[in-house]
Amino acid sequence: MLNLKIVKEKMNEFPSYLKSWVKTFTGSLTIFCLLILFVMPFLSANQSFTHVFLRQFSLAMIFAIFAASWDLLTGISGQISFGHAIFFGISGYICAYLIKYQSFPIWISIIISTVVAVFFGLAIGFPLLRLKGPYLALGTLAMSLILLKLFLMGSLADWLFGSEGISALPGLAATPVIEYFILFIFMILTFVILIQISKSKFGTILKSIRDDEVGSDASGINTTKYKIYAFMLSSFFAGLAGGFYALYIGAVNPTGNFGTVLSFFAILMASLGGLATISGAALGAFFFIFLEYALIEIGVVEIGNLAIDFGLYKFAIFAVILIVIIRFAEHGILKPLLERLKDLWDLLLGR
Amino acid sequence: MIVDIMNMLFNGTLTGAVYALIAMGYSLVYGVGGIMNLSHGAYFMLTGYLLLWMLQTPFFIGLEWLTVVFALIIITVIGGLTFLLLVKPLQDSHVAVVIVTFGLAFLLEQVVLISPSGTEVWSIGQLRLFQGYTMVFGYPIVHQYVFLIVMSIVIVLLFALFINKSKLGKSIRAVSQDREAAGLMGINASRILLYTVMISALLAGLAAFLYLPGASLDGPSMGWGYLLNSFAVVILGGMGSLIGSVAGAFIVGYTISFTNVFVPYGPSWAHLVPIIIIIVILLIRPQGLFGKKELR
Amino acid sequence: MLEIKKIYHYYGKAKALEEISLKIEEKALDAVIGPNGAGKSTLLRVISGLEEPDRGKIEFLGERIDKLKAHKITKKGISHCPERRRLFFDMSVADNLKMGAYPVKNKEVYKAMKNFVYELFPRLNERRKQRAGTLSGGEQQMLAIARALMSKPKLLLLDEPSLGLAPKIKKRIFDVIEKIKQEGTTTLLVEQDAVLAMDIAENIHLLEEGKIEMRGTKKELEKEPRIKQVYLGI
Repeated sequence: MLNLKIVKEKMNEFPSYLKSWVKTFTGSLTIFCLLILFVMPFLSANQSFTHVFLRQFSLAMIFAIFAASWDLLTGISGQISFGHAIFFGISGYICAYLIKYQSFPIWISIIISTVVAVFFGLAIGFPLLRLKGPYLALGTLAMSLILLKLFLMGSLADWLFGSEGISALPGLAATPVIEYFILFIFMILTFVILIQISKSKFGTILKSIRDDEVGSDASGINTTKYKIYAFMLSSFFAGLAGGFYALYIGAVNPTGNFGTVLSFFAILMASLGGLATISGAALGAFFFIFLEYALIEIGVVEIGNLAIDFGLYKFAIFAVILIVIIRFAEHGILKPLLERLKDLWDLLLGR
Repeated sequence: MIVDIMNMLFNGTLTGAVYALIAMGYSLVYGVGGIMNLSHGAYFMLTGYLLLWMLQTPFFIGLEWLTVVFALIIITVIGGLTFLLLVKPLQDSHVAVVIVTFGLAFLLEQVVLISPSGTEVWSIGQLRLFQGYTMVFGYPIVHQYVFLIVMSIVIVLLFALFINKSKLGKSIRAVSQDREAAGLMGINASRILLYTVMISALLAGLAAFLYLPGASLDGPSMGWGYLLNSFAVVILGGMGSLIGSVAGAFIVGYTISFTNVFVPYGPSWAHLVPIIIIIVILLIRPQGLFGKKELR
Repeated sequence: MLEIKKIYHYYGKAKALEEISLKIEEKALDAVIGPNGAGKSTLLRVISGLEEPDRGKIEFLGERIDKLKAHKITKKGISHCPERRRLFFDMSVADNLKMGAYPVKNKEVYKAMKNFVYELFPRLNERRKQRAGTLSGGEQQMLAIARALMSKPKLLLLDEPSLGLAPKIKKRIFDVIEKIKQEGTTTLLVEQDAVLAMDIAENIHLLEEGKIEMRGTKKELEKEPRIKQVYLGI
């Protein structure tokens, strides 16, 4: 039951809450970053700038939503998913199919595809949530590998557009700048919602399930119900990101939208930022896209007789980064780095 | 009809024999240490490529059999290093262990992919011990595969003997039953786990050596498929149960080959077999056919 | 032989042991008594290395052992027969004994120890091929003690050997413990059943809420009114 009175009170408190939040270190830093992101398209009229850099930032925003959805499920609720590409890919395919073959408007397609992703979250979550911890990881990985195979090979694949997928989709918006702002708004919305959820009572319950499932069960929490909610919520945002991604690329194909690589990306980005922080996912996504871009730009480097193509080695490098982070810095690197900065900030202000 | 039945039986046995080897080690590592090693499929894949790379090296011309020895040693060492460098320091966190071994599997795949032989289909047929085939009821029985099935059975039996009779095997069982009590006996559980992971990598390597010369190297991502099917096998047989993994391997093998041969659009549906098995078993008997404990 | 100096141990923030000091002489049989949850088992776990003490020192034969892992401590000659037996239930009686003798490299010693424990517990010899999980409670306790003896320990730690056993079987187990002592194995016994423990032990330590509250011989402690009332029920 929704208690309107409480909602009203919260609404009234909101401006003052926002004011005090802006004054905090994280608040001012977030506002600062968002301002930069906001003014960036206006900084240069240069065509190639908008095309190359804005597009990279747009990609980072899509992945930020995707990584945050993974962090909600794995970081906050402790349900390890190695198959997040399922929701991402399904949504992308549905979206592409509706636009291309049913001539649906873009936004309707995105809404439908996101809803379908949620249904997939439910359908997959229901049997797989009997699995715990590492089993769930493997179970979700299995699901995504099988979907990949179904789309890629065999006679069913012909029905599912084969390894070519669906291409020549219209863009999300007429220009990269508009696309950028649409994604910018959706990213902010996603993070506001996910962070509020993680701080809410619902989020607290999810964390308690993560930390002690048996204990939560014993204290009367219907853990299965909450885990399914987490699955659906997570697949909602993963689906949203997947729909955007399909339109961003302008095409869908099995490896590009269902590949293990995509689940791997989400894990890497969220781990880079710091697990269970939600906002870390955004930091990780931007860092990741920057790094990928840099590696491709660096390209071939010759060290003595050895020619190393960083663009070609990027996935291997990402894998090493993931291994090193998990092995030596389980709390990620970006979020702790910010905490250090905050300490410095407090010191400077003499707090 | 009889050809189809022969096809189903032979391929089912073949698949079962391969997965018995792969899944046995995978299950053992989980049973003994609670370690879910997602790089297990990558060991199988990497062994194939190690063999290929060595066979391509002029040094090994005329010494083809040495490549097998080297490849098996290397994969065993990689298994050991996986445990020492990545798994052991993170053992307290299941999440960390799966993520880090997932990362390793991904890394091994990428390393093979960027190697010169990464993107083509290769054969390591030089290592076939037996050539040719015999027609039985109109179905060609490939000799190399018969050899594989026999060897797989021998290895499984030797392994069972080792686990049940040798002192190391008994210590492995002791650690898997009660790690703390095993420590009180003076058994160094960490070292036992190290051996277990090495043995499991060796078994995956052996499977690759027996199977791949008769088949082909389909690309570095093939490791995931083997991991996935092994997972179905151990879920079916019961995590940590050796009899379970062997029985599970053959059941999965026959199910896949049956689907392939007798179901319309079989090869497509065959991909779904593992996940269907996983889900059905989880819904009706979560501890697997031979497992004692519920899944943790 | 064993000297514990001001040991502290915490589970998270909960204090389990507080400033415990204890000295066990060679060939002695000491007992720690006290109510449930007093920290008796924790004390043994700290000695055998299953838990690392948060503060304090433990010396065994003049050597510090408090930082060593359990398997290393076992090899130094301390054998811990844990609470609730902790047998390898899927293995045979003989294999359990074999695991107990894990540190023993010499075959002759192994055979001698096997004969020794089978003599001590003839029942185990009859059931040596049976799975440990199928034994009765008393037999399981015998096997647990026998398994702990197989490494030919210099110091034997026994945790609640009477737990869940019928009085008659309890008595038999305690007879064996006395016999083991007479054979020259130093023993530290942790026991809730104070009457039984005080009957066989030379020195008795009373552990309450993580602290040693009292210690002395049976005669000395029997005079204490609190012991009489709470533990002996006189």
